[in-house]
Amino acid sequence: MAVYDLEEQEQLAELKAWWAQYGWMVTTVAVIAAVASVSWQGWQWYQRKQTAEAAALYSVVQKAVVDNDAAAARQAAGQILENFSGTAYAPLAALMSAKVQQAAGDTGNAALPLEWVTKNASEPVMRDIARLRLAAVRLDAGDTAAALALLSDEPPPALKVRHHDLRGDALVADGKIDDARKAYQAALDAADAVIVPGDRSAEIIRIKLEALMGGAR
Amino acid sequence: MFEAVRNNKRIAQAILALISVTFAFFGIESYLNNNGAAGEVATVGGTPISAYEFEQAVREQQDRIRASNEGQVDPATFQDPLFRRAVLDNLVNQRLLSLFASEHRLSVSDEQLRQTIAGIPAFQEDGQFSNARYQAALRGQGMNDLSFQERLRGELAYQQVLSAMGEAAMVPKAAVSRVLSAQLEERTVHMVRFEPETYLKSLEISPEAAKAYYEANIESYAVPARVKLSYLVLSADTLKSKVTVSDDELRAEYEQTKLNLGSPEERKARHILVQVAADASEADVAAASKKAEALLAEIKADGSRFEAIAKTASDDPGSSANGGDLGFFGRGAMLKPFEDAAFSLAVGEVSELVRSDFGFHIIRVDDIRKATIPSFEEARGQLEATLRERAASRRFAESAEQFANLVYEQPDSLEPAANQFGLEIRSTEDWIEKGATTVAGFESPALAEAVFSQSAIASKHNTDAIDIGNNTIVAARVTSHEPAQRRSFDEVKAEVESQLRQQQAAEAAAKAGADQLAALTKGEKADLSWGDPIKLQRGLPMLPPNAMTSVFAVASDSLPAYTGVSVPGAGYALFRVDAVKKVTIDDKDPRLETMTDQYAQLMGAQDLRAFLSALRERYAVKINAAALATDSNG
Repeated sequence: MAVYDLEEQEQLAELKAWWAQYGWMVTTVAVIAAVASVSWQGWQWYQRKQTAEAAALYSVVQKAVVDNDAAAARQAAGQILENFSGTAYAPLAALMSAKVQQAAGDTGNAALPLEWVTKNASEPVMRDIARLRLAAVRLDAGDTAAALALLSDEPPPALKVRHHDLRGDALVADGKIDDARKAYQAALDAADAVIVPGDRSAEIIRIKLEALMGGAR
Repeated sequence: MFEAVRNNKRIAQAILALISVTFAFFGIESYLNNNGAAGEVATVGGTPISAYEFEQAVREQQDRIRASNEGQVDPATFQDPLFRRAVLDNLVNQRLLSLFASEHRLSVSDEQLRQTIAGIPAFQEDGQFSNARYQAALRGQGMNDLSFQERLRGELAYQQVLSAMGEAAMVPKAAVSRVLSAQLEERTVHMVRFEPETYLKSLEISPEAAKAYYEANIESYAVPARVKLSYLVLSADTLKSKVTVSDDELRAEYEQTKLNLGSPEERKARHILVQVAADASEADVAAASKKAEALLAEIKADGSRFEAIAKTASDDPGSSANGGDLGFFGRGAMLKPFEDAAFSLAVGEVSELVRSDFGFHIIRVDDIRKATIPSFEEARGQLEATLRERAASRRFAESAEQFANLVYEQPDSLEPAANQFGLEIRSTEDWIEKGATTVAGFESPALAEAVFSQSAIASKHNTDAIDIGNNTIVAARVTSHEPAQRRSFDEVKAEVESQLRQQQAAEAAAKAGADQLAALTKGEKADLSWGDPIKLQRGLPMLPPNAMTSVFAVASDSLPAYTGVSVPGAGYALFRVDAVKKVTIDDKDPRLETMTDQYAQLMGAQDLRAFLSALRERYAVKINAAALATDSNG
């Protein structure tokens, strides 16, 4: 004890005073940080566990899609949406399952997962894509008004071709041939604005447009 | 303040706790800065795509294209910058999807990995997975089990995103059947051509019109300036025959490089993996370590049980079935700790526990292929070529500046430079026109510009020494020159008249056709010699695209219907549509399914592109244009 010289004594006293004043704050901050860190890691662990379980179910969905097994896809995707809706697998499984349901002609069960994605997916672009796919399903179900309602908002630039193409399809179904022509033309204009090597979507849209000009319905 | 920390343990501990908390939040990686290292072609969301990775992807893509074209591929295709750019875009897209997959912790189970490997046809024999095939196929690709599985795992993870975004689009059934019926619709048409030739003779070209046409197009009748040249070429290639390589140099080079001349040492090993992730918790690591220790003890007690234990207990799905066998591998194929252990063991020796990013390994080396080194005489030819090339390119580097100085300082002749370097002065036989980019066989806009420069033509000076790439420089001088010449009206009168006549005849034909169409549409009769009936289907184009469009676009509610198109430079084609055969598509038509698939695929590709462009906004993509352009052999 006696080895402290005067200067050190002084420093120590200053420090003690500082600690008396701010010590509680330092301790509180440290405790909060520690609690936050532990809960963060716990949360991470929980998330990893959830996604791993969802991943296993997702591989079932993938296989069902390859096998065209609508019931199996619906069941596995349903489990993901019910139990692991917070994982990224939820929107992916919903999109995959909808495809098989539609191929099986079950528009009701194709629409449900797509509706879920349009409302719950965290990625805006996934919601936009699901909205377009849902519009196609509504058209198949004969619900033209619902399809047009889904297509009323301005699309993000990268989905313009898809959006106007589907709007054309919906307007044909609605008997509004002149408007349908304009929509297809808008889709073609959007496709011409960005040339993608090897993309033949514009050919199909052009055929639909020209078929309308020839009076075919 | 430092004193305070030393003397007040409590505060010091609190501060240390704070630091370790930040590590818990951000991980240690964020403290290590990994700034744009050389050899990166791009970075995506901060992760680099290395030049090595890129060149490998380029090679793989080339192989795929060659395989699908049975080797008949124009090599220029692969030189095209667009090809390299497309390969890079593809890598970037894969990386974007991988980043998305890892951000959302998408994972692939061992079971799924095993099933995928077993399902790959290249690894099968008689429809069954064959481990021997699998190992051989991997070796052929220069990969080992672990690296292949790691790669496959990554691909499967991003495939999970890709299939949902890009392969699950659907299209309205009604739209598909409209497209199909439009494709199959058949229209019977008759055609009348209005040919320009018919109108040629009756056309009178007045001298004033010809003159006006000449004035309007005067530049196209001019002869461009042109030159003939003499020139010198200095290249590393031409210097190769002028350098000598001594025996001593060859021997020194041999001693230095002999280890790289033969094949390096390879080892055959087996391993048992107790999997535990690199970032696993301490408890997990301890548990895995304990399990691995137990296995190691078993093996130490009875070495012959290694294979059996690998079969039952190893977590490496690729090798466990094979008793842990990894086959032969060289240095660089395995993770560093694994390699260090495997290359320090003797044959038959079992390692202690080795920790890698995958977990704990127990390794046994079964066989060693010693490195082979060729004798000096065997390697001599190859060494001499290498040294000669090296010396020539060194000589070239030394000479280039001197060469440039000589042609610049003595601008009235190429001879000093030719004598100095023992080069031959060559000359071009044909005229080189201004605007050409190839000069004396060298594709070089810079050289083409230099030979038409003021100093080359007016002062008759040498051009600068111009680097045309590939270790080659060229200097030239103009030996003959003809300036650009406008040709007078009289000189080109015949040419002008004939062109004008052709143009007017085409216009007259088009007008006659359009007039006729207008008359027919109004219901007037016309005396036309319609051709034989032609049956057209939109899906099977037999006429130029604009003609097909106009035939199928004309309203078909009252027949016959008339339509026509002007064909640039070739007059007009008038069509009479007599019959329209519409096709009703049955719901069960198998063609509907094919068309639905193709159509949905195209729309899925659009969705995927939209998704990728959203990812590009999230993870910054930076392309290193310079590294992209560098060819692996350039």
